[in-house]
Amino acid sequence: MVLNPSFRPTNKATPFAGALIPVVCLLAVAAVASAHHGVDGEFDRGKAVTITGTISNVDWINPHIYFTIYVKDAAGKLVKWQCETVPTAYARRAGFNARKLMDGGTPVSVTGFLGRTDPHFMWANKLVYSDGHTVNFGVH
Amino acid sequence: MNSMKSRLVRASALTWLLVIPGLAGAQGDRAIMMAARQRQAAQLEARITPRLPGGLPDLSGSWNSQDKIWSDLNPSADAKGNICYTDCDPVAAAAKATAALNNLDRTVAGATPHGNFPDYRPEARARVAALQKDLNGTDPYLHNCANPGLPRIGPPSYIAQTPRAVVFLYDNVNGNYWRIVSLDGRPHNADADPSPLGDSVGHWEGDTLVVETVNFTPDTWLTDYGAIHTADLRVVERFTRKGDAIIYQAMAYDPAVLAKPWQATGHILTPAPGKLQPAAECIEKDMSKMVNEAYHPNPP
Repeated sequence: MVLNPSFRPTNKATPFAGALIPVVCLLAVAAVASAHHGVDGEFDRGKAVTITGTISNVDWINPHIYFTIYVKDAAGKLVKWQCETVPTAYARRAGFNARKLMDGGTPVSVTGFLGRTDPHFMWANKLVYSDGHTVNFGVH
Repeated sequence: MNSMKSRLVRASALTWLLVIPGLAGAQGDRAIMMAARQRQAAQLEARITPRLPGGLPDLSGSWNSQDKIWSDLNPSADAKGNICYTDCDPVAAAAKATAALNNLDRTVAGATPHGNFPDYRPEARARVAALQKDLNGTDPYLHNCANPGLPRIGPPSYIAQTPRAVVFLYDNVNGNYWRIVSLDGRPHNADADPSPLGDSVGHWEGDTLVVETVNFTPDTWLTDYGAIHTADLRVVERFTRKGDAIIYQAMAYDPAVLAKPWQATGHILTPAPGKLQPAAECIEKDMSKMVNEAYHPNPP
């Protein structure tokens, strides 16, 4: 299912407007052996990133949900980002769905890992919406 | 009541035994999380077991499986719409992120299976090792939107139980799958075509439903990391309802390749809210963007 309403990104100021620069940080703590799951072939766990923008469409599919988010760059220009995240079966366990993900196109901050091949592609671990509510998929 | 109270006390004691030595590291955080789940499971198991007329436990309903990697017992949104699926403690989440960073499955000479993996006969090990050199390319379930097979598919998402048959429905990441388990004493269907989920018959042993499945196609894996089997695989699953939890276990028998029977990782099933929904469409989009051989097992 693809959710793609007539929403069009605008240059209207929002509480989250402004120059939002992706944050890249390297984690440098002692290793602990543990099992893990993740799409490490596509995303770099060493490059954490947070972007804020508005979601324009959602591909509610398996094995991973995809969504498009428009983010303002330093010059105020809207840049299209693509995000990938958990499967729908996983997301639905808490009653989450495509409509709640898009949240009517309200501003949302997305935190995760940067893609390896595309600077505007990321894995989404956590979402923080403009009214403060959060959706935390966990560390994957 | 007393037995429930003593179970809770034991679970609490277990929690503290795990917490005190492990407070410093990610292993301790994981232990805290697991202990919390055990407490929740104990509370569910302590409830009265629903039974059908005739006395058998009623397995019907929607079920979440207690998957240790992916989710807490039953994530749900609070009144404000906040949801946390797992790794909800920020300190534990940061430690887990670090551990994940340092334990990546970039297969160069082959990936080592994590955790529970079958013990293969010497003559089968070379074939398994060859598959492990290119897991993303050889895994029949991953990146293919294909049927995972049994027991890799894990426990069902929905169970419909009647006296003569039990129906298992799966909301799997690759699609909707189903199995019908005959309970009327009939033998396996000798005319059935081999299939990824095989042909199942079942019977009750006390409060445990025992399901035996044979007649598999050989092109699935028992689990991740190249766990091959043959067409002679036999799988025995056990479903035991205790209160509002179902304990699920599965054993795989395949002496042609396995040095001994393999017990799949067990699950505790807990009631899932809402009705089973159709699985979303499966469209593979990862392989074209992968720049290394980091193995990406699907969540069960």
